[in-house]
Amino acid sequence: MIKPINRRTFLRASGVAMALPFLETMQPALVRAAAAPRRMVTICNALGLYPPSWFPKTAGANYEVTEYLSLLDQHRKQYTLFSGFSHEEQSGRQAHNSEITWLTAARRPGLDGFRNSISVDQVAANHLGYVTRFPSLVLGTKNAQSQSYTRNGTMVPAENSPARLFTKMFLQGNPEEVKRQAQRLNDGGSILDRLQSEKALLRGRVSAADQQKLDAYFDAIRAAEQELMEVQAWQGRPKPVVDEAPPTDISDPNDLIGKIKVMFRMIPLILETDSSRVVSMMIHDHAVVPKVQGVTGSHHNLSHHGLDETKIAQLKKIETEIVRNFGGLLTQLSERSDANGSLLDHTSVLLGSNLGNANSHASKYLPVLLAGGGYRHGQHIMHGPPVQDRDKGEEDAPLCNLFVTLLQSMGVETDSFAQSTGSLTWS
Amino acid sequence: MEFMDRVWLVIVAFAIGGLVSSDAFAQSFEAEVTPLVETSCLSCHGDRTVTPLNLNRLGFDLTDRETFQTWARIVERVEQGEMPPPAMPRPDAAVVERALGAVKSALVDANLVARAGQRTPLRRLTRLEYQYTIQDLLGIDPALALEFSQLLPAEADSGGFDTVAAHQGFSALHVRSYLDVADRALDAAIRVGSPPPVESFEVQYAESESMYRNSVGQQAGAGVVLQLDDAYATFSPGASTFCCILHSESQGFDVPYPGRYRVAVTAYPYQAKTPVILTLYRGWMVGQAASLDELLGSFDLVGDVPRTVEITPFLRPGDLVSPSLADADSPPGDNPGRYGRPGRNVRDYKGEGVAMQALTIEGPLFDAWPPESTRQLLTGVEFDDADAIHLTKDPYDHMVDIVAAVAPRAFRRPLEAGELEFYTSLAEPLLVEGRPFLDAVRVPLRAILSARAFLFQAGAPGQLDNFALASRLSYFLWRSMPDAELLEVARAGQLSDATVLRQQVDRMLDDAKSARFVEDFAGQAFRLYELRATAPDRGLYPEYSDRLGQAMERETELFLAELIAEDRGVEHLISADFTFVNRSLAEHYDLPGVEGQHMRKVTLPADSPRGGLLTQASVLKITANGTTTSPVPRGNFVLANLLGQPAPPPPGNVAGLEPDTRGTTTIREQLEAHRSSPVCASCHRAIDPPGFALESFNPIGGFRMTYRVSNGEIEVDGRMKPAPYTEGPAVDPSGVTSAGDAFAGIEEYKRLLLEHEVEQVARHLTSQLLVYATGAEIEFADRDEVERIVTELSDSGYPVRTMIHQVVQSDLFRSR
Repeated sequence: MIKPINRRTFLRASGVAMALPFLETMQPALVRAAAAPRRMVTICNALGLYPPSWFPKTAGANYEVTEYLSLLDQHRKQYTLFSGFSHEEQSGRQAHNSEITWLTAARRPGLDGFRNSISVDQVAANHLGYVTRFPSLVLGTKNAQSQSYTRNGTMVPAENSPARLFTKMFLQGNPEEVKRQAQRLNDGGSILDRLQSEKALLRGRVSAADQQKLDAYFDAIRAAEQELMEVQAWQGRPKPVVDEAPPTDISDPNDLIGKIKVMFRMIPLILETDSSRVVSMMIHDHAVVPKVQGVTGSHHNLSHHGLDETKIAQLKKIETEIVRNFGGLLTQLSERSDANGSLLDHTSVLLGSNLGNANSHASKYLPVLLAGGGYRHGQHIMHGPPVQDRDKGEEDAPLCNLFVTLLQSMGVETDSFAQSTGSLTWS
Repeated sequence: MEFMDRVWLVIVAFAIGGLVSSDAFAQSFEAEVTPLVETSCLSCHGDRTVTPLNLNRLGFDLTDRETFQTWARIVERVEQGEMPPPAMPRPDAAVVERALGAVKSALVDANLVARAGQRTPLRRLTRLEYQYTIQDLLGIDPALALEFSQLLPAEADSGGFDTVAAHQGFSALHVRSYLDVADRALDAAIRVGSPPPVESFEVQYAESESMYRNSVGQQAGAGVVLQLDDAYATFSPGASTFCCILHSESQGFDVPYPGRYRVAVTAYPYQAKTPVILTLYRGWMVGQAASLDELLGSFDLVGDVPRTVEITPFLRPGDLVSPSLADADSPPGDNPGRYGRPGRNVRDYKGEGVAMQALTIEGPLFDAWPPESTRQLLTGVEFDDADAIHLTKDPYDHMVDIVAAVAPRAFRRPLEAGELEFYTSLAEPLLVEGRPFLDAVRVPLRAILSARAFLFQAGAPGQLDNFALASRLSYFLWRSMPDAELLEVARAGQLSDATVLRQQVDRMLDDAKSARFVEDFAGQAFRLYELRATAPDRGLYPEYSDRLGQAMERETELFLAELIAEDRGVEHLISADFTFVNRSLAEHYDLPGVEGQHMRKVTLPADSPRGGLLTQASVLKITANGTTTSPVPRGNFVLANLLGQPAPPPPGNVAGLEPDTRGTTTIREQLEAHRSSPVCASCHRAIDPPGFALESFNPIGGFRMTYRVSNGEIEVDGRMKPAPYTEGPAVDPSGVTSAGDAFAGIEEYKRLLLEHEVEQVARHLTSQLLVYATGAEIEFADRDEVERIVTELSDSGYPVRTMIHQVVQSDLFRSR
C-alpha cells in the first residue's frame, strides 16, 4: 500500500494558510448592505391544533375570527391562512409517523422499507450552504427528534437547549478551548482525508453492489470533510456580538410553554445576526402535563380527548398558549428592522402541524399559516368546503405546492418538491 | 440443484455478460403460464379490467421491479387458492402446477441474478451495535457508551429491522458524529493522572438537621414527615422531591466526578398492613424541587424489620439520588397531603408509609487506576508513580503496538498488508510537531472508529469466510463484536464447521450478552421499543406507574429469553401456562401470592386469560394510545407481528376512528358502521377479529368486562384533579375470523390460533430471525430455505433455540 500524502500536512508544512473559500466575498455585512437575505422558519406543533378553534368557515379577506386566530389578530394583515391542504398517503406504521414527513411529504412513513426524503428546509439549506455560520438551525422542545431530513433520509438532530445554541452562535470560548477545538477539527480533517484515500485503493477489488454502497460512504466522507473546512473557516472568524444575556435552559420537563417561549426568543436572534437563514422547529413532548393553569392531563392524552368536553377545554388551554406565543414571535420579528423593512418582511414563517385531527390521528386538512416573507397577506385560502362540511372522500390540495413557493422565495430555482403539482400562488 | 450451485451458475452467467437477459426469463415462463392466463385470468384481468391488474400489459420482464413484484403476488394468490375466486370455474390442476412451477423458477433466477451472489449489501453497524461495540472494544462504562451513541443519527423507521442494509442511510452527518463520538469515547477510555478521590457519604436521617428543620420547624411542608426515634416516616413521594427532602443533594452530597457509585438505603415499613415499595430514583434539581425522573430500583418492604437495599448507578455531577415510596395506602377519604396544613399533625395520620433510616453513597468506584480500559488500550505503555504515562521506546513504535492490538479487534479480522501503517502514519506529523503522545495516539484510533472496516460488515460474495461469519454471528446474538474466543475459533478456521458453530451459538446464547439480542429483537419485532411512547391517562388508569411499565417490558423479555433458554415451542407465543411477574404486575394480572418487586417465573392458573405474547400487558399497552383501545391497531399487531401477514395499509389518508370516552358509543359500534363499506370491509374482516378478542384488555393491559368512562374533573383539597372514572358500556370480545370461525373471547380466539396458525407463527419467527441476523429481507429466492427450516422444525413443535441454530446453520446465514 502506498502511503498517501496528507494534503493538510502539506498545506501546513509549506506555509500555505488553510484554504478558506468564499470567505472574503461572503461577509454577511456586505450581503446585507446589498439586499436583505431571504429567510424561512418552519414551526410544527406535532399534536395538531383543535380544528373547531382554528379553522374559520369562510374564505377570503373577510373570514371570521376564530378562537385561536383571535390571538393573532394584530398580525391579521401579516399572514395568510390555508385550509384543505395536506400530503397524500401519510398513514404510517405508527399513528404518529406523519410527524417525520411533515416537511418531506414522503409517502407511507415507516411502512415497507420506508426511506425518508429530503425536507424542504434542508433543500433551502443546501442551496445556501455555508453563506452563514450554520446552513440551517434545527430546533426542538424535547429531544433530538426533528422534522429535518438530509437527502438520503437521515434525520438532522434538533438542538433542544437554547443555552447551547446561544453558546454555539455567540460565545467565543476561552483561548485554550478554542485551540483544542481547532486542533480536533484539524485532526478530524486529516482523518477524513486519509479515509478518503482508501477509495482509490479499493476500486476494482469489490463487487459492483458493494462499490455502490462504498461510493455513498466515500461521498459522505468527502462531504463531511468539506463541511469541516467550512466550519473551520467560520471558526476563524469572530462570532457576532449580541446585546442579550445568554438564555437559561428550562429543566422542568413539564414547562413546555416556557421552553417554546425561550426558543421563540432565539429565532429573531438567529435571523438578525444572520447566523442562519433556515430554521425549523418542532414543538412536542407527548408525555408531559404542560404547566398551564387548569391543565392536569398530559398533552398527548388530551389530544386524544375522546370528545370529552373537560379534556377539550384543557387541550385548548395548552394550544392557546402555543398560538399566543407564536403571535409573540411574529411581534418580535415585525419589530426588528432589517434592510428597508422588518425581519418579518424577509422571513417566511410557516406554522402548522402534521395532524389535522389528533384525536383520530388524521393527517388530512392540516392547519397551515404562512406569515411574513413579503407575500400578499390577509386572506383565508380555502380549498374545498370548510372542514365540518366535508365528505369523507374529499381530496385535499397538495401542501407541497406551498413548499415550492417557499423554496422559490428562497432563491431555489425549482418548480417542484415531493408531491407538488406546481407552485401555489394567490392574489 | 443445490441452492449455492444455482447462485454460482447464475453469477457465472451474469459475469460472462448478456447471456441472461430479460428475454431469457420471458422464454422460460411465458409459454408455460399462457394456457392458465388465457383460460382462467383474462376474463377479469384483461384489457377491460376494473382491477389494478391487466395481464395483457404486465409483460414478462422480471428485471423490472414492479413486474417482478406483481408476478410474485400472483403466485402467492394462486397458491393460496384466492385466485381464481372461489365462484369461478376451477382451472385444470396440471395447468396450474406447470404455470406456477415456471413462474416460480423464473422469479428465483431473476432474484438471484439481481443480487449477484450478494444477498446482503454492505451493512452498517446500527446505533445500538455501535454503542455495544465501543463498550466492548474500549472497555468503557455502559452508561457512557449509551450516552455517546445517542449523538449518532437515529436509525430511521423503515418499517423493518434497522439491521436491514438496504434501508440504512449514510450521510455526512454520520461521518461528523462518528468523529465526535470517537473523541468522547477515547476521552472516557484513556484516563491518566491522579485518580479521582473516592468519597464516602452517609446520612442517618434521624440525625439530619434539615429533616428536623423541615418536619418540626416552620419550613414549607412541615408536618408531612413524622420524626421517629431512629428514622423519619414518609407517606408520599413529595417528601423525596420537595417538602422534607430526603434526596442526596439536600442532605449535602454533590456528585464530584462521573462514575459508578454504590448507593444504599435502609428503611422499614411504617403502619403498613400490606407491602409498601421503597423506590430509588436518579434525578436533578428543577428550581426548588427535585425532579425524580429515572427509576433505578424498587423493593418491597414487609414486616417491621429494616431492610438495606443497594444499587450501583452511574452518576454525573448535578445528579442526585433519592429514596421514595410507592403503594402506600391511605385510609378511605384521607391522604397525607392534608397534614401539612397549620393546626394538623401527621402523628394523627393512620395511612401506610416508609420509615427512612439511612442513605449512604460511595464512589466513584473503580477496580484499578489507571482503569483497565486505559491499560488495555495503551498496551506497552507504563505508568509512573504519579500515574502519568511513561514511554519505554520510540513514541512511534508505541503507536504501532497500540494500533496493531486495537485494529484487528475493531475490524474483526487480521489486518491486511499496509493497513497498519495506513493508520499509524496519520500520527506521524503530530509527533514531529511535538504534540503530546496521547494527543497523537488518538488520531489513528479515531480514524479506526470511523473506518469502513469498522463501520460496515461485509465479506466477499458467496460463502462467508470464518471472520465474516464470526462477525455476523456476534452481531446477531450479542449486538457487538466477537470476543477473543470467537475470533480465535475463526482464526483457526474452525467456525465454518457445523459442530463448532453450534457450540459457539450455545455458548453465546448462554452468555449474559445475549440479553442484548433479546431486548433489541423484542424491541423491534414485537415493538417493545414503543412501550413508553404514551403515558396512560391518569384519570382513567390511575393504577399505572413507571414501575408497572418497567415490569411489563421485563415480562416480555424474560418470556422470550425463557423460550430460547429452555428451547420451548413457538406455540407459547400464542398460549403458555407460565409468565414472569413481580408483585405489582401480578396484582395487575389478578394473580395472588406473589411477593417482592423482583421478576420471577410463575405458573398461571387455568382460568387466567394471560399466557402467551398477545395477552402480555406490554403488547396491549403498545397497541393502545394511553386513553382508549381500538381493535384496528391490535388486530394489525396480530397480523403483522405475530403471523407475518400484515394487512395492506389503508388507502390514502384514511384516519382512525374518532375516539369517544363519553360512554355513549363503543369503539365496536363505531367500527361496525365503518365495516359496512365494502372497500373497508375487504381488509377489516381480517384485521378486526383479533382486535375484538383483545378488547377484553384496557389500554394498560388490565382485564375488563366494561369500558371505563371519564368524568371530567373535581376539586380535591383546592386542586383540580381527574374525577374517578365510572364503569360504562359492556365489552363485547366476540367475533368471527376471516376464515369463518366464531369465538366468544380471547380464550377461544387463542385456541383457534393454536389450531390453525402455529406453523405460520413459526414461519414468521424464522423469517424475522433470518432478516434480523443477515441484514436482508426474505426475497422470493429465499423462500425455499425458510420452508426447509420450518418443515424440519415441525415434528418437534418449532422449538425456539433450535430455530436459532437452524437459522445460523442455514445457507442464507452463512452466505453473503
